[in-house]
Amino acid sequence: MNTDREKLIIGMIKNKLNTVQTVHFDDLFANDENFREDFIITSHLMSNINDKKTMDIRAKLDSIYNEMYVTHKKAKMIRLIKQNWYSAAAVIAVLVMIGTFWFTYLNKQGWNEQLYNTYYEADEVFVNTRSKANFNVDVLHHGMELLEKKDFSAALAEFNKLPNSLTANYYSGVANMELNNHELAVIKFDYVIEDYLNLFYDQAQWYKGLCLVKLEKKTEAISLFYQIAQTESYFKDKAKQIVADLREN
Amino acid sequence: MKKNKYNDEEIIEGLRQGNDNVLNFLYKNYYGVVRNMVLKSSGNEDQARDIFQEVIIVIYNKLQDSKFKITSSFFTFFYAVIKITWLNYRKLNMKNPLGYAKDYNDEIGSQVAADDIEILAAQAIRNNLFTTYFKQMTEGCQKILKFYLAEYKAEDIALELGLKSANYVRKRKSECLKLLIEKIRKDALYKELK
Repeated sequence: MNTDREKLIIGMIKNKLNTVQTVHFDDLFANDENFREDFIITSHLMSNINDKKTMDIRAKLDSIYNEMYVTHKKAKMIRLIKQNWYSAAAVIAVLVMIGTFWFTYLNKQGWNEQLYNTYYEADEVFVNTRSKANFNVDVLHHGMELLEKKDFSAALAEFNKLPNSLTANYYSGVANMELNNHELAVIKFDYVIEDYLNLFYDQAQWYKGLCLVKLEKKTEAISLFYQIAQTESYFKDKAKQIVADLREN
Repeated sequence: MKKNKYNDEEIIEGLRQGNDNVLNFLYKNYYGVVRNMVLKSSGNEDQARDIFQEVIIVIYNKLQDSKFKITSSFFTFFYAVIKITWLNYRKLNMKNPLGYAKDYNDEIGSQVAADDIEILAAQAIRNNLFTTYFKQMTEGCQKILKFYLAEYKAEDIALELGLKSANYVRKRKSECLKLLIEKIRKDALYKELK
């Protein structure tokens, strides 16, 4: 952007152009795509950088974040380093006990049960809507509350009222897993996975994989976990590990 | 006064004024949900923080317009903007052939004006893009541009920043602005947002 164009752009944004300059600006804006783009970018930049109040809010938010997370992480690290080796010994002892228990426990189970129990961890439920004005919201909210209270059958009854909702289908899959209805859970997760662009996609894939393990569909499970491991999914590391574990069994 | 709990009116008024205690409250109570959502859908900590902060800022800016009213609960509105911002951000980054987020009506339905949500979400993504590139510039460039855009004279900027001359400030300002615009222009996300 040359200096004349820059002056025109800044002048227009600051409303300081005279009539001749305004005509020149209008002409360039109508006929020169680069000029138009420079103007749009500069306008956005000015509203982002030049607004003192917004910059103040930004600075406050950065400071809160640093206070809450960065400082907290550092403090946690220092505390960990300061722990004496008695703690480490105690941890090792506990690990040995858990290991012994786990070894004994796992030896009584089939390969699928072993892996399923190792990797399955129920998803957290976030009840995040509170409106009374919308039927879907009320039903979903109620279902999630029931799921949180571990009343899985009642939660399912609520979710089933919303057959086209991705959220309801996802949590229906979760509830079905808890009720040992793994085949049904797979159907629910498949519904979610069909739409790539939703927030439950990664979780639905992972839980579907665990259902396949439980159902002893080893080849399908390996294929799905392998697919997850190749993506940037939140579960990719776990997926790599479970693929290795599945191949050993 | 610092409180553990705020009602919707207090949150909206506090945010409108940029109140520190309300901003702290929002971070403490809402960030966890946002972080969890982003991390569980292939995002990272930085993206969670960026999305959270940009959405707070676009809502703050929107609240400066006294005609603007939030008709749902604040959290419903906030979470709807967060969700659409994140879904659209993912969509834009992945160049996914599927459409924009479409399932949020399940949860927010008619309580929230969908147009407002889409506009705020687009602003949040755009602001994040501009702020990210601005922050990537050298400290010198950032300072010159800030002063320049705040309509300081080149002579005053030179004096304030201890630079050798007003001409040098003018030259550096143009170089910095040009560089910043070029970087933004080349960004794939910007091209998608156009």
